[in-house]
Parts: sequence; structure tokens; C-alpha cells
Amino acid sequence: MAHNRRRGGFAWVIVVAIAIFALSRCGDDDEPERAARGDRAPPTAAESYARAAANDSWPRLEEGARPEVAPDQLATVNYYVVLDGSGSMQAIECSGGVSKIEAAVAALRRFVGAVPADANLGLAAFDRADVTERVALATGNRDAFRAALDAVAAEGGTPLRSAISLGFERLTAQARRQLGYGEYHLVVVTDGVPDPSSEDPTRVIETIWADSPVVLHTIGFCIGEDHVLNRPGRSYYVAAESPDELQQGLGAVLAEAPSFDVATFPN
Amino acid sequence: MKLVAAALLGLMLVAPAAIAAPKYVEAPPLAQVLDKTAVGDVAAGPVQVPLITWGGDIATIHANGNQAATARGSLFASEGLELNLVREDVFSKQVAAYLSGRSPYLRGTLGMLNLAADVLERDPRTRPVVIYQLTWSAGGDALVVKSGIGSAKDLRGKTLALQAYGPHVDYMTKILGDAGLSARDVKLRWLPDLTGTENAPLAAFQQADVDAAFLIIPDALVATSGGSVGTGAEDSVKGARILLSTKTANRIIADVYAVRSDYFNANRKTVESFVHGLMLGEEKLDALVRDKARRGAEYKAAMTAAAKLLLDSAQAVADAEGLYADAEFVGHAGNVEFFSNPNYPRGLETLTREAQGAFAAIGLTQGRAKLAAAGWDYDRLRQGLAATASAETQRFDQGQVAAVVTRRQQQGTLAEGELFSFEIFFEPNQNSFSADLYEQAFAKVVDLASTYGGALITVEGHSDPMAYLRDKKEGKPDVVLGRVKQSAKNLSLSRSVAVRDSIVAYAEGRDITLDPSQFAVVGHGISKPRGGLCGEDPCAPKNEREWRDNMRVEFRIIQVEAESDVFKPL
Repeated sequence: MAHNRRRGGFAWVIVVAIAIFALSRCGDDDEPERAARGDRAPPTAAESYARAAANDSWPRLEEGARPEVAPDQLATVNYYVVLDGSGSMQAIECSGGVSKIEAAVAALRRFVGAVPADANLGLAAFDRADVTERVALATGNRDAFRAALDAVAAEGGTPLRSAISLGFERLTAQARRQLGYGEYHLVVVTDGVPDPSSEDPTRVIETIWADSPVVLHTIGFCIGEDHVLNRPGRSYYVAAESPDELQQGLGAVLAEAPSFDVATFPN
Repeated sequence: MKLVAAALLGLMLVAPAAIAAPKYVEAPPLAQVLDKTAVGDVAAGPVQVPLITWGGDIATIHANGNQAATARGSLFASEGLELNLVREDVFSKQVAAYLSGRSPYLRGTLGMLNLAADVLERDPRTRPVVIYQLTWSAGGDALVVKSGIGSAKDLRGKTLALQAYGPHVDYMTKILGDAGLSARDVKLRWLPDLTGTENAPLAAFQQADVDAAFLIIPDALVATSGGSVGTGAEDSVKGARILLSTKTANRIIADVYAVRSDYFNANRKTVESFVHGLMLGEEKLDALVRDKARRGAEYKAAMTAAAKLLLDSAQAVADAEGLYADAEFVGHAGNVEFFSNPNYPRGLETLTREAQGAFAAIGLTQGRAKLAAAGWDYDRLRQGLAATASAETQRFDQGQVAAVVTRRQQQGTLAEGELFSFEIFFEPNQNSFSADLYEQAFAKVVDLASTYGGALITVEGHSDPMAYLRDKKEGKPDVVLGRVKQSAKNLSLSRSVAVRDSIVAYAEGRDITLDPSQFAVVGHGISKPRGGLCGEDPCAPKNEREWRDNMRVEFRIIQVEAESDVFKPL
């Protein structure tokens, strides 16, 4: 008999054969980036991330992506605030004798105090400095958040699409770090209607609704119900006609998610 | 790759013989095979010590001064020993030499020893005392399957080929047992040889009527076209793949030495010196391998001697290096664990109980027999060793594992590479998972985690979709449904984490250390209901049983050998 060699002798070479399958919902590798930017084609009315129970595709994880948060922080709640610092926010109307921006900043400062310490909070604003992120999503950044609020200098137009896209992009990036677990809230405080020719936010709002579990909260300050961001059933909208209502609207953002696990079998 | 190419070429040369049907053999109990072998006293003179062709034996050769007869100045010589190393890969011949007294020692896997335990026990002189564990197989052996076999439970009713009395018998019974099967659920084809002939498992696997085979890794690579999926060319088998190698199942095949009771009782000090020399040899060889760039001549001498004694060719250094790489040496700490820790899930007693139970059930042995441990004073054996503490290391890159698992979850490919799976169920609103409620399941997870140390274990939580369905039926808006859906996902994750933590605590309570990096938690929420999907919704349960079936945590043991990124670099 040839020598009865037991095992071994050759390098343990495994040819890596990982099949990379396209996602069932989207075959385009750039889709999540496009989605995060809000460049997605408007979806049909039937498409909704919330209504497709089996759709668990957000955020798309690329090959080599890895979580960047500790395992016990995967389910962290995230609030990303977009503050309108356009010129119209300097006006004093329905804001208790101060400018709208002052009322909004005061309400947001109280809101910050109520955000749980273990939640991530971030801020983007548009004012004379255009649309920029002022505070990155994080915990332990509340003082920086308040300081950034105080630094908003109301001036200029209302680039809502850019600002909302930025917020969605930041939340999507955070979701990749958390592997899609957690909660994602995009909170927009605005008093104005965007210029439809250059800054129509419809597409990005539709994308958020169709492709993600991000919850869009809009506090429309002194502009009533008739606002482009008021999408009944698809997002939360509060028409705040006073600083108190503004505060209440922000308080509602922090309400807990609906309970769903109390199940009684309906025999 | 040169080595793989050489293996492929070698098999091509014997291809005509490999196509012919192999000669299968019966596998009666060894007690019948060796019925006429007389028991004699141990021969005087230099002690004959068997070797088998395995990486663990390279350390033995090194301790003997890189030659068959103990060299002056070698580790064994320093221990006052005079040995003669003799390779014997045919286990029945080794047992015959042991019974007749030509050698007091047996060298095999623990499974092989258990196959012979009843014949060894017949005479009190030859009752075996297991004295030393050299290694675990960690990549040298594999279960190779043809297409259509996706996990171990798919082996039911299939035909398996393996060597009779060889190193894979307990590997086979353990895998079948963990899949809820036994050897009676499959058809076994026994081969006389392990490799290199037309009567070895690889040749059987090339036959149409054999569905799976236990192979040494070079043969497994040949059958699977280099470790992927067999193309059908160059002696590979079309569609064949490695279901499970000992890179994953890295706590099944233990290589050990045993000694006759009469020799042990009369020469305990000498046997202890032999064990001490083995420990020193392993440690010195490890240091030499790590420092081979600087100690090149010394390293070459060691590997050349191993190639000559184990492979019959001093030129086969690369093959000897391959053997070495496939073995995981356990050292002093591993021996303490294996022989002395009653809680260690993969110790001598457990492996023996598993193997003997399975062997007797299929008629490979005639009953249970004791394999005694030497009962060494391991503090005394520590003398002269540099490393005697086991380092608790995390084998997996947790971040990479989480990313791979989540990506597979999104792609619907989480079940790829699944070896075993099972579930536990919970009540509505249940968030704690105490060991009191789930002891049987937790014990199974601990056993699987300990046995398949190279496999990932996913702990996958699922949520009850009833509230979501009710909200939808009531016409709740998308913004509410979305939050419910996401909350379900988060809750199912928190349940998975709670279950994982309870299992780790359960193990710690029994003095068992699990590697937390081996566990990946997943929250599926309501995306994968047991009852399937009706359109885009979970199908509404029709009765209470279906409803409760959704409230589950699923355990999946997954082979991830191809995903090298998930392993931490050594």
C-alpha cells in the first residue's frame, strides 16, 4: 500500500468564492448613495418601506463595511435637526414678541435638554453661511449644539431640499455604523416655502418614505398646514402658530415609538 | 498553490485507477479483527514509540533530536530516555504491536483509541492510560459533499465513504449526531486506505453512488477544484464542495498518546519524562518555527527530519510544513484542560463517551470500555516550560462578523454555509431568557460552540407581526407602520442580545469559557415570519400555534471558512 498518509501535506488553500448577490430591491450599487442624496426617481404610490414588511434593505451595506459602534449601542436613537435660518426667520410674528429664529432657538434649547443623554443628536442649518452641518451626530455634544444654535444668523433663502438631503445622508451614514438598528428621526423646523424651481424637496422626501425607516418630523412655524413638507400619513407635521405650539411639536418628536408587541391572538 | 498544483498533477497520473470502483471492506469490531493477537510483555531495550503521519508528530521527532533513535543532547535524552520512533499509519498494526509488547505506546486520534478500547481492555496489562494530547486537527480533515447537500441534516439517507478504523470515524458520528442523525440514518462505505490509492475515500467519492466522503485536506482540495466547487475536471467531482473541515470543527479530532497499564504502573516516572519531553519538544519547535528566518539551518534540519520520517522523503519539506500548519498544538495548558477540567466540554471523558456510544450503536465496538487518564501532577510538568497559561483570545473580528452577517441578512443568504440550526420560543413581551427555562438549548449551544470553534453562531431574533398586521388592517398611516416595523427590528435584536448574554452567563456559571466573538446577534424583526409572506405582509397566523411559532430565536451554526476577513489574524 502506498504510504497511508494521514491528513495534511499541502497548504490549506481555500479559493475564496463568495457570491455577491444583488439586493432583491435594487440591482444598482449606487442606489443607496443616490437614495441618501435624494436623487432617486419619484416612486410610485404603492412603494413604501413601511408597508413592505420583508424589506430590510436600508441602509445598504457595502462589501467591507463594518459597524463603528459598540455592540450595545447598535440600537441607539438618532435625532438630526434641520433649522431654517433664512431671512424670513428674522420676522416677529406669532413668536411672542421676539424674532422667529429666537423663538425657534429657545424651543430647540429646551428640546435639547429633553433628548435622552444616550441618543445621538446632530444639527444642520441654512443661514448666511449656506447649508452646512453645524454639529455632527453624537452624544455628549449638547453644549456644542446649544452654541451652534446661538450662532445661527438668519439670512438668505430656503434651500430645504439641500438641507433635508444632508440630514438624510448623515442619518444613513449613521445607520451603516449601527447596521440599520436603532431609530432615525429627521426634525425640520422651518417657516418658509422653498423655491420650487431650485429647491423642491419632493424627491428626497419621497425617497425617505420609500427607501428608509427614517421618520420625518416637520414643525411648520407660522405657515399653517399648507406646506410642501406636510405629507399626511407619510411624515409628522405640526403647524405651530406660537412658541408654545412649537415647543409642543418638538416634544412630540421625543414620543416613544408605538408599542407593537402586545399581541392578543384574535380567535 | 504550487502544492495544490502538485496534488492535482499527482492525482491526474493515477486517474485511470481512480475511476475504477474501489474495493470496499467490512468494518467489524477491532476486537474481532485482532482476536488472535496474543498479549505479551513489553520488550526490553530502547522503547519503541509509534508515530503517525501528522503535524503533531513533528514535535516528537524534534524532541528526539530530529532522528528516529534518540540523539545525544536531545530533549528526550536530557529526560534520560532512549527511544526508537517508528511510523505506523495502519492502526490495526499499531494495536497488534501494542498487544504483543513490541511497543508500550499507542499513537492515534482519540476516536481511533476508542475504536480499539474494548480489545485493549480484555487483558489488564494492556488497558490504555491516555497520557498526552498533542494536537487538535484544525484544517487537516474535511467532509466533502456533492450538490444537493446544503447542511449536515441533508445527509439523511445519503451514502458516505470513509476509511475503516481511521481518523474520521468519530468525526462522522459527531457531525451526524449534532444534526440529529445517527450512522444508521446514512449508508456507510468503508475503505481500507485513507489516501493515495484506488481504495481510498477520494476514489469512492468519484463514484456516482457516493454522496459524501471524509477526506484528508489535499484530497478534499482535489475533489473540490482547490476548495471551491468541483468543476468535474482533473479528478474533481462536479458540484462537490467542502461542507465542513476541521478548520471549523476544530475540537473533534484529538491526537493523543496512550500507554499500557502494566508499563505505566512499572515505569510511571519514565512515562512522565516522556510526556515532559513532548511538552518541551512542542514548545521548542514552536519557537523555532516562529524564528525560522533567523534560525534557518536549524529549522531546515527539523523539517527535513520530519519529511524523512513521516513522508519517506527528505525532500518533502513543503509537505511537512503543510502537516504542521494543519495541527493546533495544545501545550501544557491544553493538556490540563483536556485531562483535568471536568467542565471542559471537549475533554477526554466527553469525547470518549460520545465516541463509544456512537460506535457501539452501529456495531463498531462491542461495548464500552474505560480510557483512563494518567492523572499527572501538572505543576511538576510545568518545569522548564515557558508558556503554561492558556491565553483567552477572540478568534473572530467582531466588527467584520457583524458586517458580514448583516450583509448576508440583506441579501437573503444568511443560511449559506449553515451546518446546524435550531430554535427556542418565547412568550409575548418576554425579554429575559433565563437558563432555567432554556437549559437544554443553552447546553446544546455551548456544546456546538465548543466543538465547532471555527464556525460562527448567529443568534437571530424574530418578532411577532400581529400588532403590525392589526395596525395595517386598521388603516394606520405609513409613518406609524414604519415605526412599528423598525421597533420590531430593534426589539428582536435586543432579544438576541439577551439570549446571547444568558448563554455566556450560563457557560460561565459552569466554568466554561466561550469566545463571545463567535456569536453574532441579528434582529430580523417581522421580515422573516415563520408562516412566510403573503404579498408584502407576513401571512396572518391561522391559529395559536402559527402565531406562537413566529416568536422565536433561531440559532444557526455557519461555516465561514471562505470569509477569511472574519478571522482575526494570528
